[in-house]
Amino acid sequence: MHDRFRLIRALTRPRIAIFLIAVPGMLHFLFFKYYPLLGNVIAFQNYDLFRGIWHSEWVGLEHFIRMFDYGEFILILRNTLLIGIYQLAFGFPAPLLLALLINEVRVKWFKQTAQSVLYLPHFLSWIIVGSMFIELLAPEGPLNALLVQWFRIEPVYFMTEPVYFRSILVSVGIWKAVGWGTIIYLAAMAGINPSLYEAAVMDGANRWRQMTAITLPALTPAIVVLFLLNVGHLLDKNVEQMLVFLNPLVRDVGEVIDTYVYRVGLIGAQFSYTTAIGIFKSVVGLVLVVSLNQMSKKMTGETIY
Amino acid sequence: MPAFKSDRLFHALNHAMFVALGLIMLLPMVHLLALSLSSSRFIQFNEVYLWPKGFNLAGYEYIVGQERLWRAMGVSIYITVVGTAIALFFTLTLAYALSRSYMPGKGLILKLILVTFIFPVAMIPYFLVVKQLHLLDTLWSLMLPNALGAWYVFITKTFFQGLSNELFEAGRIDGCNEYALFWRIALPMSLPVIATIGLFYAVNQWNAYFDAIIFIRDQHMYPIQMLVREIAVVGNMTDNMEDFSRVAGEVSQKQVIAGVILFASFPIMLVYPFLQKYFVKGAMLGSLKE
Amino acid sequence: MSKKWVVWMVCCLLFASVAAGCSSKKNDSSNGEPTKQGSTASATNATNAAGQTPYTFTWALSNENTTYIRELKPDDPYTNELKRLTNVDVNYQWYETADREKIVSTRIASNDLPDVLQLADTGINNPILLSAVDGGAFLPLNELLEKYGQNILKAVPEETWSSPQLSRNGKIYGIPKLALQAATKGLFVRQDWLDKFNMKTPETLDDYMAYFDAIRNTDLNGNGKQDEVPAAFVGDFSNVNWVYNWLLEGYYGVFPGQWKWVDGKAMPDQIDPKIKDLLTAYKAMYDKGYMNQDVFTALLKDRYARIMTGTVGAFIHDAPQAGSNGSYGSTGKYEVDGVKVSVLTGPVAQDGTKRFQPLGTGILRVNVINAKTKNPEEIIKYWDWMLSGAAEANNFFSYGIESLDYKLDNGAVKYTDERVAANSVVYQYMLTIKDWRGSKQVNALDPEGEVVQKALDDIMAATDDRGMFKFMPLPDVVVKNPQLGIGDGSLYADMFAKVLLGREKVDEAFDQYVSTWKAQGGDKAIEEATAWYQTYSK
Repeated sequence: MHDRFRLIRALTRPRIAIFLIAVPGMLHFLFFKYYPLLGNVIAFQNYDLFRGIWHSEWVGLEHFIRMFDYGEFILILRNTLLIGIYQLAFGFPAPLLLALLINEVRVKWFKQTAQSVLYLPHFLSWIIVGSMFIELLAPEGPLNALLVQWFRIEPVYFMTEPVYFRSILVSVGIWKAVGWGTIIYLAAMAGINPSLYEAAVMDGANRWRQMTAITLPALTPAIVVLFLLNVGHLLDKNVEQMLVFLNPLVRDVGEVIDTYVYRVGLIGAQFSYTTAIGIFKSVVGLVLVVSLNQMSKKMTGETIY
Repeated sequence: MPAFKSDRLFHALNHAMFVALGLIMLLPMVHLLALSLSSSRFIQFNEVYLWPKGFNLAGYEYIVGQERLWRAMGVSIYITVVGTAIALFFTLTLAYALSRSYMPGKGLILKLILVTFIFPVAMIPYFLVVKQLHLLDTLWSLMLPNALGAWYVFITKTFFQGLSNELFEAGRIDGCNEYALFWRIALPMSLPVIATIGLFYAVNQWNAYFDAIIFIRDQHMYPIQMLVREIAVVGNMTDNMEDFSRVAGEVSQKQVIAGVILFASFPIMLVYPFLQKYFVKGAMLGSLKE
Repeated sequence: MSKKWVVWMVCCLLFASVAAGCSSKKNDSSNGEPTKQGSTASATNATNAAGQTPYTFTWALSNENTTYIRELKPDDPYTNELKRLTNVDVNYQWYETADREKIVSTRIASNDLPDVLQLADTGINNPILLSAVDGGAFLPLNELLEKYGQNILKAVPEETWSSPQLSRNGKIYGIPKLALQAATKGLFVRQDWLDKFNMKTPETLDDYMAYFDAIRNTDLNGNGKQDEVPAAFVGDFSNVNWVYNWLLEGYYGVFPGQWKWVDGKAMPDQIDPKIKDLLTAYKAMYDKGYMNQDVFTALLKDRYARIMTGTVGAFIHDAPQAGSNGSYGSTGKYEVDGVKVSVLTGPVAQDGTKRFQPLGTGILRVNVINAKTKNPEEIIKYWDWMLSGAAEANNFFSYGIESLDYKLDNGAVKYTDERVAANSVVYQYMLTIKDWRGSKQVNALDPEGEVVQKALDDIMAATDDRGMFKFMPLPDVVVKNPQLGIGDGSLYADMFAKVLLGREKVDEAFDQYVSTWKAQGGDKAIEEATAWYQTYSK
């Protein structure tokens, strides 16, 4: 009886209680993320599916060397980085800007309708979206028809001209994701105390001032976290999107690490090699996150961990 | 609200922009809808844009008659609802705990979680874990392994950190223990983020098919996206020109594909409008009055 | 208020999870449906005699993107009829062709193999399979075939049995699903258009170009738009799909991806100088509009759609598709009327021979048997019966079910009125160990049968036999450097595209291609291929 009381006392001590609250989640990570993560060791082996990890031959850095030796490695790394940076530079601010603008809409029914419509493209797969855009931008398609009629220029082969490729890729990507991306910022803004705005208006602050003095600071933690999480996957690309838009004429600017891995994977049975490439991307991502996190700590005081 | 002239101009422009943007976002859906209601003759010749030509409901009749589509829909609804609930349970508890400064090992755990976010999960070991837990060919394999994601934990933790401390103090004074603080104070104050994370998990769950490929063998347990993939995607990638001809007359492959895509997207698209009331500014702050 | 909602949600969660846990343990397998958790060696021990309990085994195989199979029900007449005829109950575990690699790898890695596993046409010749074979996961079949599978042995040529796709170290592990014949792709042309132009059947290269030219300059469907496409090419150059583009390769005698033995060495066609002529010819076709202009951005499915609109003058496809069961012949499912299709074999080659497509291996898929299977001889007997020539077997696989699909009229077979032609893919292809589509018996009952048979014969007469090279797997250096191959993303595909669109000149592009190819590993590929050929042609 005394012991049971002691136990309850122990379990309700703040540090123990809070730890217990975290236990289910931590167990989940252990089983479904950490244990499989250890499977990445196959990048250092010649993974033999049948004999398993424990009986596969150890080859150290051989697969990584193979990756660096690959003739086109610099090319695809460059493409991956460039596209990643474009996507970050344009695609990251876009949902934030849009969320801020939605926030300014006063008419409630208009705001809610707009929100419900903007996220629709998120639900379509790239195969569908991609085909639509290819048709749209085709030499015989509507966009070129417009250009020919109104501007009297020759049809532009948008999809097969390397100079347009990255821009099209990033733009279509933004179109598809921006509406969905606003949701998290809107949720964050919903948590801001409205009396802060009322007070600011009373002090004569205009819309711009309200945004910079109240909204943005309140959103800063979310912005920083989202940015860092994004950066961690800088080298990861949406294979579905790439494969639909990629064609032989734009490979020089469009072939990225993930499409290369996809092609290698098609020939099959190269688990160790593709895992090694994945690890390479992750290491780059990790370095970026850690260093940018340090910077953020100094600049904004926000840190991801 | 003081009405400056520049204010009115801003609002006009803003609204106009949203109308234009909204239209651009809507167009593909409208196009799909038109395709799903048009007859094959016009579809094949690429003459259908935003309005159906050769209007017929045969595509939807086919879909309604396909038992496996409805079953898959049921499976998807089930695993989305239950899966989201499970995900919220894991995510909210872990993220809340990690948002408290007195959580033991907080820094280390967060770093470890970051590692799982950045490094890839290899397919074979992932499969073997689920197999060893005897979850293969069960709906659990579609709901449990993906019930927690580092990305969601970080976002949710950030939100929890932003909660003002006064209420927690008040709660402690009133004698609440940690569990009560979580349950009675933190959660009710976080409905926007619960709605958000729940929505994200739900959509992810609804759109997922990779796990189903490797874990599910019984076709009765296929979620809807597996079938969409079959009908709209995979079937088009190889050279097996198949037998939609079995279906009467007017129904062309593209028509059914468009219909199936809309059919499969419709339920999940409806969730967000219902959750919108949680995104209203300041709706949740009523409990905290200065 | 919100608390109640949360409590309610948690209760729902608990209830639902209990319900889910219970329902997932319920075994809802019924007759013909796949059971959960394909176990190893679930084959039963019963003897395979009529009237006794049927022999069952599990078979994991691709559904070949067939809607019928995806919608397969437990009371399906064809699987039940096959079970009745053979007293063998097959527990099919269908997978999507696109998922094959994932399925095969996860099952091997978890040591959870069905009795029979169907592999791609590369058979056991890939590292995953080879290590499983060496580890004893699959049964060597030589003895079983000798004792119980004589018909199977006879159906497959000796050189195919010894190919790396089926054998290892002298032991046979794989039983092939056989193609109708080792080359089936023909050139489908619009006979009704030829008639309209008053042209005879094209034979020479000039004949074909004249045909294309006429199409280019005539508005054949009268819609005021010049939207007819003389020849439809496929833009996504995955290895599989190049065959649909091989219009003139036979004429010049070079097929990218194929090899030949020249002066004591293996040489790949893709660096043969005749490729320059080939590219020049294709570029001319593209420029004159004889080829669809969106060849590099259109997706594969667009090619079918285009063909079905009846605006294509020539395209390559399997000859049996010209039959009544197929989609592309004169009785095909075109959007317009009056379509008449002839199946040809392209222009007569430069050197005067008939040459259209390379001779293939005749292997469509490969089946391996789990070493732990009980009574594997029953499986061999099952497949052997299919090839035995027994009347029951022949009739089922050619015509379907008596009284449902066909009836016997004084010993002659006639189709019933209720027969659904599209279902024929099930009994002619999906359930069999051999492709019966376009076979002689089937053609005999097909109004288009003669067209199909003639096409098949012509195609076999116009093949380019590269000997043992047809069994050669991709050289290791090409596996490690896919750009050396000819698929999507390869140097060849890039060059092809750039030349066709006029972004680069043929001579420079090709010479550049050859030197790059050699530098990035091509020379090694030649060495490997040479060594392989020398080993295998003993």
